[in-house]
Amino acid sequence: MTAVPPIRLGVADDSTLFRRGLCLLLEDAGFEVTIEADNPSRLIALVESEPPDAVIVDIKMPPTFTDEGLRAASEIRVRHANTGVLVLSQYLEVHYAMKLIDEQVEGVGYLLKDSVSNVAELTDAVRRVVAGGSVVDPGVVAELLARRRRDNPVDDLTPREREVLSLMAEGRSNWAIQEGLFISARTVETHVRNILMKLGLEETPDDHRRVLAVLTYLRS
Amino acid sequence: MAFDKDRSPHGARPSVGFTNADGYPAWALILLGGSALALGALVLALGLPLAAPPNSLLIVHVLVGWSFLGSSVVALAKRPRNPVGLLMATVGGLWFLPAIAFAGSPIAVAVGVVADGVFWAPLAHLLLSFPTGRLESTFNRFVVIFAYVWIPSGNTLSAMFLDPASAGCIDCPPNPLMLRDDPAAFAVMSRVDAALGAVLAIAVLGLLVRRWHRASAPARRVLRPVWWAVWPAFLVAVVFIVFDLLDLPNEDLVQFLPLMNLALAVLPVAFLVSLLRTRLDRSMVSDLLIELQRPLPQRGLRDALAAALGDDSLELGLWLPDIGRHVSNRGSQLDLVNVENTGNRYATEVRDSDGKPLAVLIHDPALLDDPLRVEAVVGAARLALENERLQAQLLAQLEEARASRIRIVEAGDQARRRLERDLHDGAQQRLLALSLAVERARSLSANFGSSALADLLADVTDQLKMSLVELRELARGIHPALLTDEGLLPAVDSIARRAQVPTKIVSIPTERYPVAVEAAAYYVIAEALTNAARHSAATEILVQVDRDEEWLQIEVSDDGRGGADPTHGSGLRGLEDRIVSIGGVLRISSPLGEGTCLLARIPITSTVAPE
Repeated sequence: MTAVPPIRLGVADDSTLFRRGLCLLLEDAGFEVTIEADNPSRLIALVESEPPDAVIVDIKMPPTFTDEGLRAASEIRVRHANTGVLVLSQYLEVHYAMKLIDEQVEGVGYLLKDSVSNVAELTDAVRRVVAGGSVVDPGVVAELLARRRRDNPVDDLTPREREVLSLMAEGRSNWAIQEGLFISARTVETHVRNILMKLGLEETPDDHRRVLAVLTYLRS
Repeated sequence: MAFDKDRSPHGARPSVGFTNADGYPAWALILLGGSALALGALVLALGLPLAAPPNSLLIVHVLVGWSFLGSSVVALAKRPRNPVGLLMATVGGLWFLPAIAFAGSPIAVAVGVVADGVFWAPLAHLLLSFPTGRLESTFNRFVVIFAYVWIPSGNTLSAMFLDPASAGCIDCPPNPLMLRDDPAAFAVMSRVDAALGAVLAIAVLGLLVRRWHRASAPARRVLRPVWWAVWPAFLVAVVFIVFDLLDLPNEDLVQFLPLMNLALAVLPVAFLVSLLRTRLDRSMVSDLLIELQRPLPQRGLRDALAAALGDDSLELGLWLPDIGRHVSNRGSQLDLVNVENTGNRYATEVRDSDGKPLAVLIHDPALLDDPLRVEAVVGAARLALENERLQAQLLAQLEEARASRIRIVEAGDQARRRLERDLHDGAQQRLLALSLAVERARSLSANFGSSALADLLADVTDQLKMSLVELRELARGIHPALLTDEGLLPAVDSIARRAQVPTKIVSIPTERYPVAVEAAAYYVIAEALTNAARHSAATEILVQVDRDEEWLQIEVSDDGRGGADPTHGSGLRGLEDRIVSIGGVLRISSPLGEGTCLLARIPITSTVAPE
């Protein structure tokens, strides 16, 4: 571990209490917090001078407290290819998550603040965005899957297939699914193929396109 | 009714409203008419033996006097307050006066000579003051006074140098006013007299033409008969003056006399027609009465009144005691001060049955020539005016109630928004920070190897997580931040996603609307989804929002059992309050077995109170 330099992070949240708590948690978990900001413009300026590996941004920040964090995250993602973004929100709203993912699917994540307190989940999410993957909070995915509709192909999935679909929607790779569910790589592949067929989606080797396709399907 | 036949001559019966409170008693009018007849008869009796044939000349002469005096009797009876009647009587009297010379006595001859042609003065007065009997400008007054003074003075001055005998009149009685016989001086005086007469005639006519051109439509309608009849009479004056100026022989003038006198005899009839014309138009008042029986036509009360008064420029102001102002029926305020300051408009106040101010009519001053008509129209319209005012008051109060309802709804919304924000920034943030601290404690506890502590902290984390979920649901229920931040579509999409009954969004515009509009639309849909889940047993709900120029139309329909009663449940009633407060409408159709359809229309331009 010591051979590899620690992942450097930027943290932006206007609530000092939460920001400080988060930084301590991250440092305990072995990350290096190089940037701390209480507003999006300061974050952007600091990232500009020394881009970290990822930034963790609260969605609601001054001055308007609507979606400043989201816009700052998008901007950083566009300007710095090697900096992933993880947007934190108190709102369990599919809309915000999709707003972020729709613009840029690689190296972005949307996490509920509730989930942050699970250090394993947080660490996993940070590592995934740093690696260029996508992260969608399981709560948001659950919300997407919970939608009731008439003649819903999702209803035709087996419970196991639904589990796999959730993990796909969260942005996990086949390997991660295999790890998470303790099943073989071939089983995962079969499940994925069956799910995509049942939902009428095309198979794609690209994980990012798969996340987007699944999310778009579930949202519609 | 000015001349009340049922009224005893000396009757002190109290008059009702605006009638002939100060009308002339019948005996006075009969006396005037009798005197006119007697005067004419006297002139005939005195003149016929003396006058040279043809006698028709004298008869037409008497007719002119009778015409003026007779017309004056009618005018005084019908329009007792109008000086026109008295002026006509004066013209008639002065017309007959010179004939007194027939009596032969020196004084009678002197009076007759001085009074010759004096009738032109009250006639000019009449022409320039018609139909009010008031002279409006200083110049008018100057011309009339000059006529009154100059005509008898000129007669006297000329007579001082005339001896009728030496002028060739053998039968004429001696001139009692003669100072000396001086034909040259007489000729000069006559010329001066004629020239001033010409100036006077032109001045009067000029003033008359000016008035005609400046007259408003109602004023012209009154003036028209006089305007046409005055020209022959004016020609008479011109002929006389031309004869005087050119010193032509009187014999030729005599040939024109019957024609000229007939022209003069027509004039009082024209005055009378003009004066009474307004009375003929009173049939319009009965038209108004009939019209007011019906619910008011589209053209409204103002137009009905304008038609009955014959004044298109009429403005109607309703007095609203609450705000202490006159307003038009369209709600705009009327500027009465301006009206009173300019002479070409007149404000007539109307009082209600209790004598309190009701309305004001701003009209052409010409209508004052027939105050009875204005009074009749106002009387006929009083009830309608009171109704109109009630309506205006009601509208004002309704507007106020609507405004206050908007304020209540807005205040409620603002309070909810604030509460949601407070929860978000306060309790939620603290709980989140707390859960981070607990998480750190949990990882630190691993170093102590106490599984009891680890279990306890895990339990605390779970409890905190549940608290956060509950708090988030609570905040979202109080006010959806998504609606304020992102608009109607994401917010509705969010509740549709969570709805118990499968809910399909057919269409919702993505554009943003005023806060109150978005809130109303959102709550309509939210309430409809909740109700459908509770009562309808539907298998699907469709949500459709469309907009046109002015309206946002919201339709939420389900395929459930129907039979929803919109009068039950405070949710729907509160919803209706909200929709109506911003000028919208809410309809629920829920036939048994055919599902429920909730339809709301909200004006997009609805007023939004600043936050």
